[in-house]
Amino acid sequence: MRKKIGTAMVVGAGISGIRSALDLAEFGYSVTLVDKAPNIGGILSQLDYQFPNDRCGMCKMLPLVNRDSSSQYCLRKGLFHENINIMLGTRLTNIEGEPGKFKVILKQKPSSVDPDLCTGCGECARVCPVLVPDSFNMGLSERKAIYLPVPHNIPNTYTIDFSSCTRCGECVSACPTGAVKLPEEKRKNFNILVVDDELIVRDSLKEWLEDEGFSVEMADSGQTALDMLKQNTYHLMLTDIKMPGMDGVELLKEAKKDLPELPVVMMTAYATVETAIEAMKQGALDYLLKPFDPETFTPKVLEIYQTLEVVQEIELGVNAIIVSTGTEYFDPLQSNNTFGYGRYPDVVTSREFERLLSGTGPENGLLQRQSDKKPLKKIAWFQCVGSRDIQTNADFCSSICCMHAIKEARLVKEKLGHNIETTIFYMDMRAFGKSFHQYKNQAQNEYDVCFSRSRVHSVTENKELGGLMVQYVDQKGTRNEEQFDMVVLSIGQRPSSGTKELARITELPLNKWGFCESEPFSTSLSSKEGIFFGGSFAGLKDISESVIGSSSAALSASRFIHSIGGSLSSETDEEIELKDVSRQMPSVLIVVCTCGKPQIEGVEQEQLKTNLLRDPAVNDIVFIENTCTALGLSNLKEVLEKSNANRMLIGACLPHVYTGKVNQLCKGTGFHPQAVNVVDIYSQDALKAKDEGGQSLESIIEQKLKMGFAHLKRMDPPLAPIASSIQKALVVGGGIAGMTASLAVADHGFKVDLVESQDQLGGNLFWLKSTIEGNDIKELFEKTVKKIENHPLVKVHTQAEITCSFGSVGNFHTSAHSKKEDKPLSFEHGVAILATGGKEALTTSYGYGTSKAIVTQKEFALNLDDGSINPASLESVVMIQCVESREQDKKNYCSRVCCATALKNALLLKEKNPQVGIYVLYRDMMTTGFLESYYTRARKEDVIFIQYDVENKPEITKDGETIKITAFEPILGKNIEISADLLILATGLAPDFSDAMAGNFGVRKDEFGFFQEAESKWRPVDSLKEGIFSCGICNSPRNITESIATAEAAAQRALRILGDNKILAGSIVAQVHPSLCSLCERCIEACPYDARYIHHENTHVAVNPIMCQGCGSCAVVCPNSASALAGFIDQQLFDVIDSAF
Amino acid sequence: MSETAIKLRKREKTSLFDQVKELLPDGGNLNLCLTCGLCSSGCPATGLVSMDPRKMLRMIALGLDEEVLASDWPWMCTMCQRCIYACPMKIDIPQLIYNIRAQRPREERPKGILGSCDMALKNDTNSAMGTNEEDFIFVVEDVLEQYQEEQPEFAEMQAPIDKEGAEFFLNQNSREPVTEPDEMVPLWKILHLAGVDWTYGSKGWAGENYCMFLADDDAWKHVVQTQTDQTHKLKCKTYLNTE
Repeated sequence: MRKKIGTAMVVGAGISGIRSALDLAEFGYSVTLVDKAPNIGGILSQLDYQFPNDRCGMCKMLPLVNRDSSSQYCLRKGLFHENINIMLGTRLTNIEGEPGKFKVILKQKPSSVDPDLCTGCGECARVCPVLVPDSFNMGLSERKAIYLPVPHNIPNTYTIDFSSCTRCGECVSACPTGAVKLPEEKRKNFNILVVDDELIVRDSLKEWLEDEGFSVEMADSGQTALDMLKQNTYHLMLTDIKMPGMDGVELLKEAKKDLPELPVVMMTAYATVETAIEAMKQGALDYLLKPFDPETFTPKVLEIYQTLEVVQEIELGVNAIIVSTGTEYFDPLQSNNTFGYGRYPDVVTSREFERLLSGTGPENGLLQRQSDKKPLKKIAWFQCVGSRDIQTNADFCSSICCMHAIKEARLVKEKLGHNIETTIFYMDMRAFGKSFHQYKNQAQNEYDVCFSRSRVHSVTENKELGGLMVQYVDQKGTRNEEQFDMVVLSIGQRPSSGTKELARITELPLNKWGFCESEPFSTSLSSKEGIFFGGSFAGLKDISESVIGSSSAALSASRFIHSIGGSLSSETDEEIELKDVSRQMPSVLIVVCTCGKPQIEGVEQEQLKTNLLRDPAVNDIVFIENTCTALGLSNLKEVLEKSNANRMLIGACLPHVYTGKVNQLCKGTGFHPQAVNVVDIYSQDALKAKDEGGQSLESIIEQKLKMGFAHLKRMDPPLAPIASSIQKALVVGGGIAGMTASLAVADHGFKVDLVESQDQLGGNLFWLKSTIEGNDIKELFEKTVKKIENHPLVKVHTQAEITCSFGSVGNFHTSAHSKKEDKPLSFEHGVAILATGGKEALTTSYGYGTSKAIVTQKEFALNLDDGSINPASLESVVMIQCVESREQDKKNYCSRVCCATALKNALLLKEKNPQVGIYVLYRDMMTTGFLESYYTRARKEDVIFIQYDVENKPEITKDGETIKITAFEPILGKNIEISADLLILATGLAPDFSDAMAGNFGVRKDEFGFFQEAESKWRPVDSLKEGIFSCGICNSPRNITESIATAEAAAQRALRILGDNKILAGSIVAQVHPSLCSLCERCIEACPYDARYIHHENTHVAVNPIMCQGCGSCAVVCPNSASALAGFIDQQLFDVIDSAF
Repeated sequence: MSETAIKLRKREKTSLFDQVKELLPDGGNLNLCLTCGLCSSGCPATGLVSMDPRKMLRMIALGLDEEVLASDWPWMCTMCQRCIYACPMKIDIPQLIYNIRAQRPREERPKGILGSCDMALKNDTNSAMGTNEEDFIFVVEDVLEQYQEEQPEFAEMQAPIDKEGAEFFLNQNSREPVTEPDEMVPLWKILHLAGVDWTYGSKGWAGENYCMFLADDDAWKHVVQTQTDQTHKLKCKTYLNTE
């Protein structure tokens, strides 16, 4: 793996942090990925299903070239990458130094369970007597005090929750590997001084704290405490505030004079909380509320103890920092209106519901009524709980909940059957992504999900039938009362709990809702140099937006590191070269892990040895204790170094645990990692087979080892293919996306050819003036064009059309025709970024073209600009949204920009002429995220919004100069007739992405005519063909800032490949035996990665190993077994099957 | 269909909507309505005369002032505030209702409320039942005496009227002294057992305020003024509203 000098730290290891970290690591930087949680994955670790395919696809974020550098299994279970150091249970506490040379201080909670010793066997949890609510299942199930934070993680180390641990020591003695150590001794040396004038308080606190193992002394007044502080060393002082004589605050001041480092915690009654908060400003660490009880007091003190004492401080030098700590969810109990949450068990939040649906959830996915565990028949979702609600300080849209609810409703139907009734109560169904509208339509038409445009006031219990009663009004105002078995509250997003602290550390401002906001026209730039935002930290984003945003953050960070010289000098790793053992007679060393306590002993071990050694290809059999632990591995290394074997089989449990460890072992010894096979001999399945089938454990072990052996015996470990790569990029399209992508690549020192069909760069930036936020688009346009023109590495070719392109990642050859010079152009490049843009769609609806008073949004902007529309002369303006959009056989997607544009224009008009009547006829207002506040502002300015349905569109008649618009007003149930001086149509966006363009680059168009991304959520700017990326409007409808983010993301994806002059494939790739190939081409059709082509001599099908991802589809469809996957050839697999019986 | 269509064009600044907005802090957020229907789903008056709070607000927003003023629906509102309590835009529908009521000529307002307000204005007691000072004092003293005698554990219980310097000035719904005098006693007992220092006022003791529901600003003010004057006169620290 190539390495660069630059280092980055990514704070927050949810999907955004993972995306940024992987992007930077793949480019070659070393990355420290920290998270305060004991696991990676963030919220996504609890979500099993994501739309549009209602499955998970997180693993698609893993590297596609040089695959062997990272883990290649389920990303929800874990991650490793050679260039990423993951630090869990870690908080960022300070940043010092200057941009480019940051010194960060991290605090890591060391686990009391040694990850090198823990085998995840679970004995500790079995004996633990404590039961507490399990946060992984949102408190819907229980766990022990020693537990797995995410049950499906690999490797999975147990963690102790000290706030509930009773330190009984059962786990210590139960642990077969001695991995658990309780920090008993340390507590005894932790001296606490309790100061209170009331004896009873002092006594009980002393008793509770001593029960926890601390050393406690007491003082009855401030003065006594001061004297004691002079004589002894205390690690923590707890002091009452209200005391006769010297009070707690004075004591704090006095104590801090001599002992500024002494942690002091104030104890106070509710009435004096403000004094306590004041005291915190004077250096108190925290405060505790009286009256105390041990259930709340003890955990709080333990928490303080954890942060003070147990935590380990780490100092790290990094060049750049990406903050991607995500968001948290709104707690319905914080609202006036709780909808009975917390009171009725059948009212759950969407996150709780997600756990209830999950097979790993509290009820194993068996969804039932929570109150009485009866089957469910009807479920309701309430949208906008804690969103679009000024009563909970949420004048924003949380952006994700609509799609989340639709997904949950569809899943319910799929899992429990279509007879379950599902109703979503909503205001606007914000299905605003490219494919979202269709997903929603499917839910409505194919899944019979009922969409009810209504917000519910409150929920009551149905004592008779069970479940809940929901009262709502329909559009007409008729009140309905309906029984539901469950109500799911679609809870909105809030800044994550650490945001304030992070804002303090980074000195970044927060907006009025407590979020950090990125700089204009960027989703990733903060106002601080060297600090960047990834994912939803600085805004409300769904998965694909987070993935785009965090790639954009990686790009910004990478560009910054490059600018300070980080990516220029590369280090060469001194790696031991892998021994080429292909074509050697197999000689297999079999290692059997005895897993702590030997499962099979003495005679049985000998018998196993004799049986296996019958095959001459077995070199030797050794038994090693706890192979997965550090000690076990070093024993294994010793055995391996002495052995002359050229293959190795390890029999243990949880093979995934070994992926990283085997790689490390091989690096140290030169042993080929593909010549190592790990088989699971102790899994639950094996033990179950023993119990059920009466088979003996040794015979199961023997069988499993024989299967693994058969696989290895015929293994011919290939060395990963290497291809040369041209470190140049081609960008097609010179709008803002294309220009941004070009600059992003060129700023890293790589040459870029930018091809634009028009005579000037700029695209839609030509006519756009400013954004709804008031950001100057003209300035952006001029600045960007100037940068492009002055950049020595960007060569612009205007008036040029692509004529053809061929090749594969790293080696593309593209021709174009220059109209300007009337000559052919040809480009050799390693990657291509397609940014061909799009424009406002044309229309013939609503009398467009018959009157100059009927214009599109773009024309309105232009007319306003050139003065042909005078706002002062207007009395009444009507805007119609969704013109020929979101309709069957028309543009059946949401164009995303029109609602914001309508608001921008409406506010502009109102500013120039407050008396003008503005009527916006809309289907669903799509003002997601912070844009919602402009919708609110427009209403505040008396813009009237009238909702219409697609079945009942507004109608137009002309009356001289005036346009008469008739529409149905659903609240009043009557028609309204508006006489308008101007009718503005929102016709939406249409992509400029021709069939020829797609064909030339071997990529696909989606059903709407946009670029077909490899995967809408996880690979939103990639094509399935590696090396081709897209951004901007040809990828999906987007505004400028979003287009820029996709451009940066595409550039970052391209940089992974451009960063090196060679590309390393994965070791598991497909091969073709030319003599067997009949050229039937089935494999070419089957290959999802376009990695197959007909050999230039037309004799057989060939494979591009760089593009091949080792999926094996080709081997499956090949009728002759001419196609085979390295490591999975027929003979090998037949042998494996044979040895299974 | 154009016959019944609502005709819209320019915004008229003289509309009822704008008048009420002027009166309320933040304009009562009246124009922020998302037409979500939450208010109507929680309103006890929804559906009466085919109206509901959302519809009413919408009509006013679209300038249908005459229809709204002609409707009896605003008089069916109980002012319970369930709407504003949960409204995501915190729209002050109760205040809007009040101001709509105030637009109707006084004599055309509902008889029951009008009569009760007028009755309250007749005496300084503010009683909507028309109970005067003497009658109230008589009833209170009579009932108290009866309980002191019949229930020896409450022999010491007091029900003071016009006691100067009491901590609390307590009001009283005037229906009880007239129709259900025994209903007054439970509260007396609680106050007695809690050792609370309280008093009724001979003036301004009636707690109900029909003049407010009538949307008669001056009369409403008069009623409140009578109560506060008496409270101040007796130098009570706290006015305890039992209504």
